[in-house]
Amino acid sequence: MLLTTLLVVSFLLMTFDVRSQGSGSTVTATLRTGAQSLTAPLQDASRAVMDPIVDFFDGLANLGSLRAENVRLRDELNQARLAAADADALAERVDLLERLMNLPPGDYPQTVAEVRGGTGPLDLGLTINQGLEQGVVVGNPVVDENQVLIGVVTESLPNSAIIRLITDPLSGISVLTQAGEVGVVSGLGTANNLNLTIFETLIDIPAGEILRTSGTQEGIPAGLAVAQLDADARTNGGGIETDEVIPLADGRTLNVVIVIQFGGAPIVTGTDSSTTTTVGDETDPGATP
Amino acid sequence: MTAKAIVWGLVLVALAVILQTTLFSRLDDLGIVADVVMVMILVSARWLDPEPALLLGFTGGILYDLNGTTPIGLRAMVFTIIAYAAVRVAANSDSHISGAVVVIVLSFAGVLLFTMVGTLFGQGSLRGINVVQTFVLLPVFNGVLSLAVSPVVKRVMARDKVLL
Repeated sequence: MLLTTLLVVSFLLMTFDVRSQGSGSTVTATLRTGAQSLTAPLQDASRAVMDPIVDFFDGLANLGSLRAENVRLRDELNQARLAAADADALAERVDLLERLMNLPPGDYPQTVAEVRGGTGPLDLGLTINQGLEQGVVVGNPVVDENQVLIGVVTESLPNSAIIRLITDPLSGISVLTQAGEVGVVSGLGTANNLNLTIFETLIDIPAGEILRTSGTQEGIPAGLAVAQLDADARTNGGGIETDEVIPLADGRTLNVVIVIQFGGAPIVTGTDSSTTTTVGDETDPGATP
Repeated sequence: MTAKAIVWGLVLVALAVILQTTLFSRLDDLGIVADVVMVMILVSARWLDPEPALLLGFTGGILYDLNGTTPIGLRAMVFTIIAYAAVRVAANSDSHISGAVVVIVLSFAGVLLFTMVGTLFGQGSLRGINVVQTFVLLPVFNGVLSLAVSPVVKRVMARDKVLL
């Protein structure tokens, strides 16, 4: 009898939670807030104790590969120096694309947040210590310190938020190739690979190309680096489908992330460098590319 | 069994949720994939009567759901069912080794149930799933973890059972 009751209650809770997603229901948000306010101090304490230990063993586990990593990084540095020579041309291209997409210039308000913890082995997410009261809302993109996209806010509570990482199978990010083709990068449930789908294209994508957000997805600005092609992606049947795509950042290893409040107005720095004001119209520039 | 054992069970499961969302989320990077909450429920359920074991599974699942991205109730349902199964087979697993085998089997069943019910509720868990990691490594790591956890749980919960 109790088993049946608990199963029915679970089923009803699931149904209610799934159906209330996006409807602005405060019931589930209140429940999550209550639970997280109880667990947050314990999670902070646990991380303070455990992180140094895990970092130590992480370092030991990777000791053998550090030398090879060093050689690889030197090669990458040389390549980066060569690529820097093309930076001006690329900047002009980005500027052109932004103007084509009607994106206003300027940065957007950003909130730095500490990672409280992950959400479990079967759903790739993070809990952070900033939420609605700090301006973090559902749909905000989350990046690392290099402005590489790692996920999107899926739940925002008063003082915390839950991020769905781009590696989650439910995640889908609209990206742009350097040739101007729009595709979708989706998660595969692992930290090392993503899937890239471009429905209509006749252009192959070379290995090493960086995929950036296209700006066609509501709430996510254009130009954020997302992933890199690990191998040449060749067209097949008029489109591209490949899982040889590597995320540029592993969100699960981060302690601090940055939430970009793209839904708000951009911050525009005026000619007087001492004044930084929030101006611009209130429409979401990413919604109408 | 005393009320004290039930309270200990809840404390251990709450502790497991904290460890899962902090320590074990970092260990994923080292290739160690375990669901410590699931392990704690399966191991603790052996020392409880059926009804408290079901409530323990349900409570642990809800607490985990509230700290995750899955719909509230998904893990509660899965953990309630595996707690029930753990109670049913508890009589046949009197050693730590046989207990670990039970944890491996029930973890596999739990993960399978999680992905199936999750898919029905739009979680897309079956899409692009890493089969080896999810259905093989996770149950095996859970079994190994249970070998470490069982003596502690037994020490804490069986003591109250003996006192009764």
